[in-house]
Amino acid sequence: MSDVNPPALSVRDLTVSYDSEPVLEGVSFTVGTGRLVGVVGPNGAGKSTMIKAIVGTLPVDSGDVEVLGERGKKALRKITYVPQRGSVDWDFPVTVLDVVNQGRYGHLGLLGRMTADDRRVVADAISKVGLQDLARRQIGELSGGQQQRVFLARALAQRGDVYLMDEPFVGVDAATESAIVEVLRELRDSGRTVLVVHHDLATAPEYFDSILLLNKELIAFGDTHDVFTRDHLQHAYGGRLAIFEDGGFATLA
Amino acid sequence: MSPHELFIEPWTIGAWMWRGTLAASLAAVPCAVLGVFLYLRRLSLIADALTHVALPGIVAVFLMTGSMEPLPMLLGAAAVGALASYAIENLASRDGVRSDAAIGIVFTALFAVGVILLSTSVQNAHIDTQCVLFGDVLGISDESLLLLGVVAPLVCLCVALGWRWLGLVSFDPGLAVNLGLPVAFVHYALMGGVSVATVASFEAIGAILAIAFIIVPAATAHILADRLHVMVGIAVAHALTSVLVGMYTAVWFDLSASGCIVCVGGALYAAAFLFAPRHGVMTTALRRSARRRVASRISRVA
Repeated sequence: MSDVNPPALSVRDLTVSYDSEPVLEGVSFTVGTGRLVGVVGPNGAGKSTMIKAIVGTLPVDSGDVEVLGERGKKALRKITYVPQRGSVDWDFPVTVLDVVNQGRYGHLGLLGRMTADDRRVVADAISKVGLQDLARRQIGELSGGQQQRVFLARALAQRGDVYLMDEPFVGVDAATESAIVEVLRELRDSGRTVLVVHHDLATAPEYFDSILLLNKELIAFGDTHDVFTRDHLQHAYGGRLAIFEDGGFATLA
Repeated sequence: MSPHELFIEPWTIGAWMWRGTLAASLAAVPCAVLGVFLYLRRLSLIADALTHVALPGIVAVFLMTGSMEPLPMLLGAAAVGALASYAIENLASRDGVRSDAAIGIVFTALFAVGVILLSTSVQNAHIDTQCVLFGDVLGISDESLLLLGVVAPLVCLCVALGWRWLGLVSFDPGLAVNLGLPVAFVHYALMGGVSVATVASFEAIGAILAIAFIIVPAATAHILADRLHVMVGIAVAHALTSVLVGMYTAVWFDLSASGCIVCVGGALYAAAFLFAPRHGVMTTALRRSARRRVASRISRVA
């Protein structure tokens, strides 16, 4: 790897604890640009914790994050974080358009006005997720899948280099799920790196180029066909793993 | 009684109706505006705490400076307010401490300190507890009116300037951190603003009724609005309507002005709760029964 092309995301020795109980220990990995990575692991494996620690909304015990060769605040600016749908109040008095506009706030500062360019970026993002007819609706009137698309549109409007998404497929309909996957692939193809917290083992190999298998520590990370093996999954999930005869996997609740 | 006697005459008997209405309006508007952001962040109860901890702030400033000048009083209250909100947050973030309990512990303790200070060393000073708690809107002093005249526009200006950040920090603090906004600064600025706005309104409406202006207009507006600026507008309209109708009611029936103002505010909330176009309890029930009637008619025809 040359200095000209630093990796999209490099995490070293990330350790996070809740109530002095470690939930994530010594996680290190490096992802190149233009990758679509699934973050997979059992419940309580620290998947969301890892994402939140990388974007800086959780205090970490130790660890170092580098984004495209930058650290600290500069690195943070290049990351776009898409939180879980349940993390905000959907009764909040804002419309779809208001929320997607928030994606431009980082560029606008406190008092800067939206330019025609900003407005075009926002309109593009909204139509890319298919919400153009609902742009003036208050967000509480939307279905779960539509709400997830609002978050995705806002993330697109941020125009980040690295996207971190926390369970975007939870509680969404099949149409939304495939629409989101489509958008994620477009992001990857345009050279962005996307990390997605995902819990469905059945669809993971189909969606992602790489898999980051996590259970408090990094179990395996690499190309999907290298990581998605019976040994690795059994290591991560233990007895909660069901293996089908056709080679597929699923978790037992 | 003629309409002229009812509506015009109160304004012509001396200046107290003018002064009272102006003071209550100037007290109500900044409280209502800041209250919207507290409401949306589910921090309305913090207002309760901040208005109470202003008391030790005021007394401490009096003990240190020996003066009752409004500016040091405001600064003292704002400082203790910021301290209290920091203490509440710090306590609430500890393992095994509930956030509602943290609010209650901090504000009652600080308020009690204020009560003790008041009962001993400053007994001779003219800090009127009755006035601090319940206000005296009809007998408002020139200093208090002037203070409100400065604080109210200032608070509104700050909210207008910080609009974008206040909105985003309230809606999605995670994204605010991600975008590098000064989330902690916005939070403490809001808390400081609430302290200043409430202390400035003490003489007009009193500490306890200031809480009403922080919570009730925002709660009413939330039922009716689906955009943030609309919500702020409705909250302000609610506050001003409460003041005007409350003042008239107080004059007509010779009742406590601040009490009437807050009762009117409560009644407006009840009206919105029951009859709001989309989310009102009665509106929804009427809509449902209308739909049932149509459905039964259709089934009868079929």
